[in-house]
Amino acid sequence: MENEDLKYIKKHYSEKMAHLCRELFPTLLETPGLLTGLLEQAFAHSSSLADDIIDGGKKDGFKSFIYAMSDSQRLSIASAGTKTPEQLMDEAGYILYPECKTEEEIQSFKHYYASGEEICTFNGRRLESCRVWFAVKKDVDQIKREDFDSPLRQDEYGTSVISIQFSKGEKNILSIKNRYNHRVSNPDATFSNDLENIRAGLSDAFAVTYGLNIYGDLERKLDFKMDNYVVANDGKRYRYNCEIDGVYYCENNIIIENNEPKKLDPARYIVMDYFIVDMAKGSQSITTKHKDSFPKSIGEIASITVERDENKNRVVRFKVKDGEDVLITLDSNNRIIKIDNKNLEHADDFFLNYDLGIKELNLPSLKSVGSDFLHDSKKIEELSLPLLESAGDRFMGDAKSLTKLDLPKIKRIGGGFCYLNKALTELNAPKLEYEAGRFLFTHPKRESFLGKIGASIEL
Amino acid sequence: METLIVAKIEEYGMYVLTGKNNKEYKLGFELYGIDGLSVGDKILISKELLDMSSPKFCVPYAFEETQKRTPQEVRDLKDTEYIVVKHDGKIICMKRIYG
Repeated sequence: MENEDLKYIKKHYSEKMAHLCRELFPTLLETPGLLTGLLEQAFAHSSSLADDIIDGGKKDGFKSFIYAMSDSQRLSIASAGTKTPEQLMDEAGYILYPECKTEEEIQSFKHYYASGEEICTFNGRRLESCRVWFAVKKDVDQIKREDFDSPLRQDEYGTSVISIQFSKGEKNILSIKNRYNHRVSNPDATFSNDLENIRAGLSDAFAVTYGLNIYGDLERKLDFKMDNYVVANDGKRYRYNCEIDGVYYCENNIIIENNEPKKLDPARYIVMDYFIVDMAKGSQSITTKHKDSFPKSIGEIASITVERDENKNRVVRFKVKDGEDVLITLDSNNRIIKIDNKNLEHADDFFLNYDLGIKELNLPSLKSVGSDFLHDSKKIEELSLPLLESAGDRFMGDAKSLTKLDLPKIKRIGGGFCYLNKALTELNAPKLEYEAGRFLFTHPKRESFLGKIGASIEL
Repeated sequence: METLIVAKIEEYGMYVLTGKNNKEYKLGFELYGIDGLSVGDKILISKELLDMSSPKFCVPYAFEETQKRTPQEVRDLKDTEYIVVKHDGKIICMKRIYG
């Protein structure tokens, strides 16, 4: 029968998250409610969490974080296990040598390290700042450097001689040094700097036996950060789609302002990037508190419906009083990924000005745009605006991923056209007569683009 | 990159440094090639090295003087392997060493 905690995680955080938790926390799952309680405490519900942890290379940090949360709840020095660090290390196949109290004791381990791979602990100042131990695998003589052509931090050689060091002072922060040293990435974080990854109970054992304040280390592990997540005043991490002036627009219709999360009723509102659609409102049902002309560009709205496309993405359909329906396609996190608007002929300044996940834009009637059109749209790779004749300043200024741009009728563009883009490979602008300066300003092939466009360009 | 100013020197090679908006960081440094930091010295350092949850975080950090990068390159490349120290009026690039 499936574990109740895993069922809950699958429902509120995705099946992938349940798999990840089964892989990382088998022991915690033995206590009903423990893991779900910890997750609920630290993470808002999100179907993207597992992907963000895995793709962001945060698996180790996440594991340490959850265990640290669990530790901080249960850690009581008096009730720690009865085994010593030496016994636990012995069970893990290591000999833990006595704490190094002198420089000579530290130097006595230098012979284990290959030439050029000696750790800087041997440089002679470490005892000023750290308490230092060395642990050596019992079969170290069988583990030869020459057998490891492609070193990995966690391989048998890298972990066969480790130095366990706690910073001195009020809080004792742990660093576990690798035998390869700088030949591998982050050699100062062997076993992800978590003694529990060597043997369960080892952190507590060190704390009790050697009088270490590993709360300092817990604090480090609890300081778990992920890209595009913000911690609100309820202690939970929320995945956000965009942040503008300290306001975080999150998935699941949540907006965080002044650290306060606020969930808008999904039966009435849709939070898509930094725009809010109020289904109950009339013609002005799409709004934003930021400088952006996009809401106005939709026109006078008669009704709004939500449907699904062939990829199961949500599509918000705006029926407008004059013209064809305007369609906005959202991904599973409510980010705008596509816009279809066949009616729009002019876009005012700051049209979709901030960073968006938008990838496709169909504006076949668009003839002119103001300044800062799609200024920060970092995901858009290709764009065709077949009728566009004039554009204001900073057109797609920071559209870093843009590789193909088709503007067959463009005649005039303002200053700073794609000025931070370096990726453009194809630009079709055969009728361009004037650009106001800083054209493709940082592009490595700026000159060749200028040459192709024609001699009429004034720089 | 963030510029930090040494506000206080503590025991065990620990320094209290202040950054933007007076945010305080407590970091340990072993710096080879200079005789420690003084109050008022400046360090240009990658933000990643200020993040306790990063696998690159360490107490203490060890750095040695290098000529392989210029201060401007360190600033532009945002490399976690290098810092720039302004100490006794001199600007020194330092490369991270491990272990």
